[in-house]
Amino acid sequence: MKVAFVVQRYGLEISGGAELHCRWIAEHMSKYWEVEVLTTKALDYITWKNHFTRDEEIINGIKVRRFPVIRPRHPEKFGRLQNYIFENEHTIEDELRWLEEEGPLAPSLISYIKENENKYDYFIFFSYRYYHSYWGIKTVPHKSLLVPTAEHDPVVYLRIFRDLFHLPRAFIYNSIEERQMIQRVAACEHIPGDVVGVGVEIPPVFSGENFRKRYGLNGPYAIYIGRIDENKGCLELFDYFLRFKEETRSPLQLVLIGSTILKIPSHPDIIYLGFASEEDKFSALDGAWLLFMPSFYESLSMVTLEAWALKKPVLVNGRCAVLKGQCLRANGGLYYENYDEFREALNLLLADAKLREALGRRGHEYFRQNYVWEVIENKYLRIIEKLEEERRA
Amino acid sequence: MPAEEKKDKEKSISAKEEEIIIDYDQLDVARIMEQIKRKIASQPRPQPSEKTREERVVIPPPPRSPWELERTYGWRARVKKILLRLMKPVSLLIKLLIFPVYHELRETVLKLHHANMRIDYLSAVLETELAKLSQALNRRIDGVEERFPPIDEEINRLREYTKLLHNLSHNLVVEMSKLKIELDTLKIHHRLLEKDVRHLEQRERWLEKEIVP
Repeated sequence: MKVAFVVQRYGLEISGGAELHCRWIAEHMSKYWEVEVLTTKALDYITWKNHFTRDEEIINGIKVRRFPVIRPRHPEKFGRLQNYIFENEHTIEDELRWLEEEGPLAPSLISYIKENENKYDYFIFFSYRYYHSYWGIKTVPHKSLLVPTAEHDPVVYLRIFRDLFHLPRAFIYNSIEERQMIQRVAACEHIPGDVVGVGVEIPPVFSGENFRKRYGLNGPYAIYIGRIDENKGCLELFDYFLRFKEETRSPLQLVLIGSTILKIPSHPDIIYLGFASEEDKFSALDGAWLLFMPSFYESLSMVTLEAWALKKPVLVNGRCAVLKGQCLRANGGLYYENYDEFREALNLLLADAKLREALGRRGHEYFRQNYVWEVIENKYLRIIEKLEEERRA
Repeated sequence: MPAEEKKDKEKSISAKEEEIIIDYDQLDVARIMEQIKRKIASQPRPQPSEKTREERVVIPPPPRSPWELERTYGWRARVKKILLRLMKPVSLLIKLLIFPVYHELRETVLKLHHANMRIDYLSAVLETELAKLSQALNRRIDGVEERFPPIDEEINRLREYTKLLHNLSHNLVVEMSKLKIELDTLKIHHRLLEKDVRHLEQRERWLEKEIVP
C-alpha cells in the first residue's frame, strides 16, 4: 500500500506542531506502508518563503517531494483580510481569497496530486486550514483522510471548511473535543473517524538532576515548554505567576523553554533558557515539579503528553476545552479558569507531593493506554483497513 | 477496603486547605476542582483599600466645657428661663399645687441631661485627642518618608540596572538560540553535502570503471 502524507512544511528543522506530528506518524507508518511526503519548499510558517531547494530528498528514510510556493504570504495584507473576514459579513469568494493569502500557495502540489492520484492508495492531509488540504481534498476526496489539527478559533466556522469537512473518507482526530467541535460545526457525524493523536519520542538519555546542577536550580520549579507567545497564554501565565509569587512568597521558579516573540518579565524567578535540544528539554521536564500549559487554543498538547510520559503533573488552562478534557480523562493534572483557581490549584500542587505523584502516575497510565506508538500505529492501520473493507464491499 | 482505612487515606492536605479532601487511590480531578471552586467561593472578598490620608475626616475642635454645649443647643432652656421668670409671682402657689414626684422627676431629667452633655463633651475630647494623635503619627510618617527618597532612588537605580542585565542576558539567550538553530541547519547541510560527495565519489569510481575497464 502506498500512502502520501500531505503537509504544509516538512523537515528536521521543524520542531513542533502539526508538521512534527506528521513527520513522526510518517516515519512510524513507513514500517507498514510505502510512505511518501508531499509538501512545499517553505520553512518559515509566517511567510512560507521557499527555503528548501531540492525537489526530492530522503529524510529519515522517507521520500519527500517538495513543491515551490509561488507567492509568499504578506503578513500585513493577510492580517487585514483575516480581520475583515472575521468581523464582517462576507462571501465564499472572500473566504477563498483568504485561503489563498494564507497559503502556502503551491498549486503545483495540487497538480501533482491530480496527475498522480493513481500512484497512491491514500492521501493523508494534515491541518485542514491551509491551501494544500483544502484543494488537495477537493482534488482526491475519495482517497483522502484528514488529520484536522483543529483548534477552537474563528477559522473553523468559515463556510468553506464546513463543506470541506464533508469530503474526506475518514477523519483522524487529535482529541474527543476536536471531534465534537468539528461534528458540531459541520454536522459530519456520518464520516468515519477515530481519535488517535500522536506518540512521543523520548530521548534515550536525560537527567533532571544534571539539569538542576547545570542551571543552579535548587528549589522547586515549574516549566513551560513551547513557543512563548500571547496566543499560547504566556502573558496570562506571567501575570498569574507573578501575582502568585507576590501573594504567597513561594520559592517556586518558572523555567521557560522555546523561542519567544514576547518580552519576558524581568524577575529573578523567571528563567528563560531559549531553544533547547530534545535531551535538554526532557532533562528540564524531568527536574520540574509540574508543567504549565496556559494555551487557549490546542487540538492536542504534545508537551502535556511528554510530561505524562515522564510522570509529571500538569496545570493547564481550563478555558481550552481540549486541555481540560485531557486532564479530566487522564486525571493527570489540575486546571484553572481564573487567577483564584490558578492560585489554589498551584498551592495545592506545591503543598502535596503525594498529589503530584498520584497525578503524574495517572497521567502516565493514560499516556500508556492511548499514546504509545504501538496504539497510535494500530489505530492508523485499523482506519485504513476499514476503508479498504468498505472499498471492497 | 475497611471504612476506617479509607478514611485514613482521604486526608486533609494541611490546616490551610483542610477542606480539600483527596483520595489518592481513586484520584478524581473533577472532584478536586469542584472542591477548589467551592473553597474559592467560600473565601471572603478582599476589603477595599484603606482611605488615603487626604481622604481622612477632619475633626472639629471640641467645646471648651459642657455648658458651652448648652449655649449652642439650649434655646429651650432660655425659653424655659423666661417662662419661669414670668411665672415667678405665682411660683409659691405652683409649688404648693405640684406633687413632689414631679420635682424629683424634673431633677432626674436634668441630671440625665447633664450626664448626656458630659458624655458628648468627653466623646468630642476623645475624638480631638485621636485626631491629634493621628496628625502626630502622620507627621512622623512624613518624616520617615522624607528620608526614603535617597534609598528609593538607589533601589530604582538598581532595579533599572537589573532590568538591563536581564535584557542583556535575555538577548544573549535569544542570540544563542538562533545560533543553535543555525548550527543545526548547517550540520544538516553538512550531512547532505557529505552524502552528495559520497554519491559523486561512487559515480566517479563507476565511471572510471566504465572508461578504464
